[in-house]
Amino acid sequence: MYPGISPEKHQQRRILKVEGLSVSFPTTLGSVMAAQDISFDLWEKEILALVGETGCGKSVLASAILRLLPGNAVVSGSVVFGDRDLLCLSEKDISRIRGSQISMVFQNPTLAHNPLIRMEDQIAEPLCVHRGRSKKSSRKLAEKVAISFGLEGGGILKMYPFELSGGMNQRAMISTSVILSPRIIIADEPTKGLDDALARQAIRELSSIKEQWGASLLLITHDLSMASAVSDRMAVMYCGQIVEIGLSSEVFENPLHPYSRALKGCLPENGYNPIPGSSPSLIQPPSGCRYHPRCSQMTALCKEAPPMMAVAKSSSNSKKIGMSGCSDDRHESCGRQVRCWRC
Amino acid sequence: MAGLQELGFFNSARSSGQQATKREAGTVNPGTGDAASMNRHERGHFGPGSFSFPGFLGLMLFLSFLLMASFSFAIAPCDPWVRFQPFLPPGWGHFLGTNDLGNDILSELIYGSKVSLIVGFGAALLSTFLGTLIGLLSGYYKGLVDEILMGITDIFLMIPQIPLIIVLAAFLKPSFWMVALLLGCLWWTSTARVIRSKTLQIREMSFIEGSRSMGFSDLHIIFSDVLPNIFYVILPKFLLAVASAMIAEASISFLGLGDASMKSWGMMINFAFTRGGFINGYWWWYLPPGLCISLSVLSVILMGFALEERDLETERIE
Repeated sequence: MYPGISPEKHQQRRILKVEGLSVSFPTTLGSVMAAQDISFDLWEKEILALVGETGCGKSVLASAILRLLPGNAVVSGSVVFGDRDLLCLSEKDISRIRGSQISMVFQNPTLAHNPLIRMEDQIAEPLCVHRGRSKKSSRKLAEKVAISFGLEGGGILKMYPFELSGGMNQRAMISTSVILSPRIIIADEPTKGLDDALARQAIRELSSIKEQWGASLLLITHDLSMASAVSDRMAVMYCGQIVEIGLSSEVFENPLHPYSRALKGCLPENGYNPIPGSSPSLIQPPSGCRYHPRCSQMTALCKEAPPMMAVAKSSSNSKKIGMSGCSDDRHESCGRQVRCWRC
Repeated sequence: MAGLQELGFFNSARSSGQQATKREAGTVNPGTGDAASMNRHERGHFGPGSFSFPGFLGLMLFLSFLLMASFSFAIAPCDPWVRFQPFLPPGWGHFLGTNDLGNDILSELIYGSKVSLIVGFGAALLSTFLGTLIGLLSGYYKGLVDEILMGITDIFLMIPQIPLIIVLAAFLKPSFWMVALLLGCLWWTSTARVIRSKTLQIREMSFIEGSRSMGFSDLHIIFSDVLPNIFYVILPKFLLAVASAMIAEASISFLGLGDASMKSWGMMINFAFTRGGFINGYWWWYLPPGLCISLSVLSVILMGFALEERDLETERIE
């Protein structure tokens, strides 16, 4: 595919291409632009973290990919999976892809389980439905998967979701989502509602999915340091737009967009510097660069919307690459892009 | 979705959903003997055997009527169609005396329980089934399906029931099966409304979204995710429908629109009324069937209330 790339890189292929995806919700106050012109690629066996503050449209984006949004959502653009645009599929075709090809891990694991069904049946359910396996054999497999995520002993699998702790429920949900060995797993704030130790564990388990099950992970989170620790690439979202995308190490070490920089400055180790101003309304987003009212380096040019611009690689950065991600001069999608006039 | 939730768009739906989940968590499977329900046993709230006293009374009463209906041939002292001396007052030969034709009233009473129970349960089963199905579909799909199904529900709500039965009885051969069928076809409306509203609430919860993200079909979600979560609404509703159907059967029979060849409590009162039982003060003729109607309805209602009460109790605990 890409001549001259090492064998390991050669296997890396694009499995999901999101292009110009916009989502809006008509309300009586006007249209809420929850996501606007989102474009990114997801490569095989990579972890892409989508970082941004609450309300920037991360979760909407995740739901839009699987077409789980409520009926009033207006979605445009394309989400190409394999050779098919998911946004154009019939409900029947998309439900074949949900779970078996692309599955989802939800925030708040306790609420994401049916309170009246035993854990083992919930984990096994996708097997019965998608693969038509018998209840008994799917339960057996479910048990195996659950054990691999540390759910064993004490009849945990015979219990109901409300009898388990948040961490256990999270592991059960991860088991459910990998049981059909999907190619993509979308994790929507998987650490929300878990305490620090459990969050770490959940993240460890999620990142093990990549190795064990060979799936790509789209990790949605607001935890910048966590994202940089586990992901190969990172996209920073602000007010419905991706403002910066690139290798996690690069984005985290050397953020280019002022917002990414400010986000990094919010981290406790960097001194808890709050970003001035408040999150913009998604109904009437600021014109031009959406960050400009809060940006310390605003110029007159910022009143006009900046395009996504590829960043020329500086030599200092290139040394840090070469970890698990793809090296970025090979294909353009791994290249760093920033939505800011100054870069 | 979190983004919009924070903006307040889905807040109400979600938070009510959360409360409901908590509540559901408390009402799970009384029969499994799991840790949670044992806990509740200790607190003395419910469990199959620990109904409140009225609920227990209702259950016992109901079981005795059920026994009466299923083994009437063994329990009844005589064949209710055999004729003895008419108008006998209660005494040793006939505990509750005889009627104008000389039939043993106690035996009639025991045989009559069958019709009451069959009509009650037949009508309630049918109406609960229809109501649940329609409520689930319209609550889950919303939109046009909801409009149409709820429109039909409104139309059915407008049909006057007893007059319709009178008209039909005039044209069809009256039988208690027909009464059960008719009541079942007319009474699903309120169940449908209740189930719909509950479904509307549950379908917004995140485990439904989770199921959708696993690629389960709508029907699969409706019947294996939503239905178990509204079962605790259906059961009391069903029992209350049984009670009303029993009363309706009795009133229809009393009006003389029932099956005259079948022994039923309503029919007995009807005969007592038309053939001078009331005027002559033959209390053993009309009082026992009246009491039986009241008691059987009471038993079912007590059970229904106990079930409803149980849900409220758990709601309060949570």
